[in-house]
Amino acid sequence: MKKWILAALLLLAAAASCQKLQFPVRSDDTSLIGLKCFVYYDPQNPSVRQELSLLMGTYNRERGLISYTFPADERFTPAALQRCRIEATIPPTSVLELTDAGGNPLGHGFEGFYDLRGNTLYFRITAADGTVKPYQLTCKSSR
Amino acid sequence: MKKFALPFLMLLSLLACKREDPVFSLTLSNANVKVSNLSQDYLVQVDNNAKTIYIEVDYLDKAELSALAVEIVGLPADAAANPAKSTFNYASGATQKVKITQGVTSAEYAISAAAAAPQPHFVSVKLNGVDVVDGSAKLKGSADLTTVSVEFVVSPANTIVKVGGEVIASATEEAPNAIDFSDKLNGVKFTLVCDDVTKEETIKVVTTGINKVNRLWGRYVKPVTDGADAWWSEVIPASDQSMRTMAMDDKYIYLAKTNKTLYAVSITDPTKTKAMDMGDYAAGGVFGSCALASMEDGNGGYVTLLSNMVNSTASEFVIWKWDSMDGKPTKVLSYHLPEAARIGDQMSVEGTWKDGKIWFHDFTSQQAAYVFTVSNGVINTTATKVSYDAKQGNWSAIYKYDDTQYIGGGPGAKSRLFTISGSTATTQLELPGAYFANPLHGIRFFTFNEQEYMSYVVLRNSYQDGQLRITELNGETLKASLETPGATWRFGLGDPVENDITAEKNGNGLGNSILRTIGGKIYISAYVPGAGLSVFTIE
Repeated sequence: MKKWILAALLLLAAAASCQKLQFPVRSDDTSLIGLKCFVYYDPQNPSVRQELSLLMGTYNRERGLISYTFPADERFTPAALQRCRIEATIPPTSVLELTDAGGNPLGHGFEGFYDLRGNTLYFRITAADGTVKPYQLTCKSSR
Repeated sequence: MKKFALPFLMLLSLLACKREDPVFSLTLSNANVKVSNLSQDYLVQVDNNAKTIYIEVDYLDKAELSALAVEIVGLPADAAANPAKSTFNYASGATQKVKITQGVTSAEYAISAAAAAPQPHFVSVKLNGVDVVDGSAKLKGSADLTTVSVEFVVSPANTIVKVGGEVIASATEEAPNAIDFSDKLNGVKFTLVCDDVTKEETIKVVTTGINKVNRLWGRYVKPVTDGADAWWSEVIPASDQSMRTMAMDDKYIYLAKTNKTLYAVSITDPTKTKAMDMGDYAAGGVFGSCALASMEDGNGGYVTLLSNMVNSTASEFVIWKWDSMDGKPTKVLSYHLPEAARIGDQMSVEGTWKDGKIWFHDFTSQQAAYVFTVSNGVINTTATKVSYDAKQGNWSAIYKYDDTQYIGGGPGAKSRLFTISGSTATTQLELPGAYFANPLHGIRFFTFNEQEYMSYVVLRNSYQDGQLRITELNGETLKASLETPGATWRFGLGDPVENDITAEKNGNGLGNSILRTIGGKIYISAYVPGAGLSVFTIE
């Protein structure tokens, strides 16, 4: 009798070891939830800034193309548009990388000041499951 | 075998010397692509791996696709595009080839262009002429929200606007529309349709100012819709001009019966009344005609002031003060007029018992007021005489708007807006009779829900009825507001329903209204002798 029990246990153990582990489904979310620009327009007072939502410009969500023209506001001088910080909101499981126009990675996240006088920034968002979506942001001055 | 070795080695060396063709390595960006003659912004996407250039123009520039001028710009000095600039018909989905050459290398890019889907939206919307901002428009609480006129501009221009499935056009003077915005919680859902794109926008109305005026209670002397009210004879023993004036603090309304008694009536329950202790007042023999007011005491409470009326220099003018409804009065002023005049028919106060002023209009000259200052509970016994540049009737009073602007109101003359500087009151405006019937009494100013108002009592039907009126002040200045007043709420005081009834004749043409903010809520009491007394609250 003991032999049978031992054999059954061995069989059960063998079957259990073959069972595949269930990993959680990784997110494929590469969406750009928000993209803010802070223009530091007062060189005398670096704490003064104007917040703008860049996605309020022309935005092709499907292709990841964003074009934003700064309002014709006296604060947004060419000098001020050289002092812009960018803040992106992405899914918590995703990663944002800056790239060049050819898609070559330059570094993670937006850092420091950006000159947004007619320049284009390229970046990509990589989802947890490895899905990659490239984005490009072009900003223009209306002055 | 050896004889093959030499040719093999030669071939091998030849292969080793063969140079690879140079590879096109230029990376284009969207900055290298310029599109001309568009009214709106456009998007460019360059894929250097697939060698494609995608241009997306705004829907409003869709027509330009048939002849889109595309230029390749900003290439390095050793690079060139062919064609560098071309106008091409992209409308049918065709692609334009452009060859980029750098040195001996080259690559061919395929340019395609398309129009973005329309994004139907409101460029602007006005409700009753008021701009919609962030999805809502601020309309006055007095507006009829069931028929709101909607003017709008849409983009793209061929966008159709629907409400409840019905297509609506922007309102014009000739063809107004009328949309029901009375559901302030949910607003009105507009459906914008352009081509096959549908978008919904909800617009709500936020009301400013008064939404509703409630009559908390009313006591009518001779109502026509509800029979006689015994209150005026059994509780308050008079209903004519012998009960000529009224005051209110934060708990009670006070009614003064000449030569007799001061009555306190609960603001919230008129069945709760009390004849107040007159102390030595009646015994003093100066309680003929009288004037009455409640004044903030500066400590969160009120004092009630009652004066007699005097019309000669020989008579003693007295003000008595009650600190509470249950207490006895104390004499706080004894004064003799310096010249022939008559004061004490009406009293108006400003400020507090710690720092305030008490105004008495001169019945005799009708062109002056005697003003007593109050400092820390002491009335200065020397009055300042303020002279007006025009007569202001006999039983009149002066009501403060701000530090320099006051309005006079009373029977016998049209109300005037004065600028008072020192001892001189100069007319800014005689209130237009088209809006302000004479006489006005109890003129009070307040702001509610971002809207400024003036409340007052006006006598009607040859002084046999009266109304409380609350008028919107919409001008840049008080003068402008009074020249063209806004909407006016009207509430009869002689009957809960009917206006201009024939009640008891108010011989003196008197009346009053008092405004207090009690527990954050605005209460207005309004009284016209011979007509009735009501208390209103504002929502």
